[in-house]
Amino acid sequence: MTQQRSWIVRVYDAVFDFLIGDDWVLAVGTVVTLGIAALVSLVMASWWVIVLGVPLTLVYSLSRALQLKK
Amino acid sequence: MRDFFLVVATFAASLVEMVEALTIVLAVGITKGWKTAFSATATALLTLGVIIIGFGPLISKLPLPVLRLIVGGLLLIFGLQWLRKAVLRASGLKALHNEDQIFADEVAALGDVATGKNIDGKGFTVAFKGVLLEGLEVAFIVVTFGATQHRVGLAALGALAAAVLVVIVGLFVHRPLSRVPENSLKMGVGVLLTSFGTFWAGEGVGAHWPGGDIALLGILAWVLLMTGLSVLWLRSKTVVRA
Repeated sequence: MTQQRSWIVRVYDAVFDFLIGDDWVLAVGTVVTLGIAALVSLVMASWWVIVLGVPLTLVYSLSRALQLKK
Repeated sequence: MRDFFLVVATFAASLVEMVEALTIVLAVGITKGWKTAFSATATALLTLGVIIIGFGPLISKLPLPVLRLIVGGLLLIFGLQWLRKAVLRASGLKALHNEDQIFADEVAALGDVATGKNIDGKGFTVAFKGVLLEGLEVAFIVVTFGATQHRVGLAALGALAAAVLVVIVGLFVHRPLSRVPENSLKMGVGVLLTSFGTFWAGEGVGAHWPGGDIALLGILAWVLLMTGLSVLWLRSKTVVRA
């Protein structure tokens, strides 16, 4: 049972590391940006939401890395 | 234009990952024997082949808007991860990738040089994991990029060209390829993945890009500009602190 659990945990860790990477903010920021863009596209052009949301996500993640270094 | 970027992105991404895999395989080959290194590499490549053959057609069967949203979203997250790392390295906040150091660390970790002709278990595991994990990123990029444009073959060609190049150079040089500008390549691939991800994910959520496909060039320029400004911003912060 313990062996099976540790195998599952290892696979989970590998998938998490592969998809989420060093900072979960990037994944969450991307999902939030795309979610807002999907909602905005119902009433008006939404490409600008993604164009602004993506660099904002990156800059926020970088600022977090900078804070951690301080 | 898309085909060109497709080949460039898969070639550059594969080059970066394969240089990293080569370092591990060389370390195992030198310390634990080439039989161990080659058998582990072959097993890992076989596993990757099964993953690509298994998931490639499966992904291609998804409806195009769903495919673009899922693939675009994943590429976006993946691209931002690469960009983040590259920007942090370019601004001095993260140590540059050093293949010579990684090679030395791997050799030290593997311990004594094996003299037997049998396959060494520890060496096999290290080489297998190294090739499989580095290769997974390549497989992901090849399958997603290829499937979205219905050009998996072309994407695989870019990866194959990088593999051939790394193997040939590796055979001649016989030591870690520390002169490959990994950080610049990683930044370039990050920019491409983020741009394509932005474009496809945008189409997936119902955004209509002004100018159609031409918008991709604008997105590329925008991501490049944001990356450059991010590096300058972080460098100014680190200089002030220093």
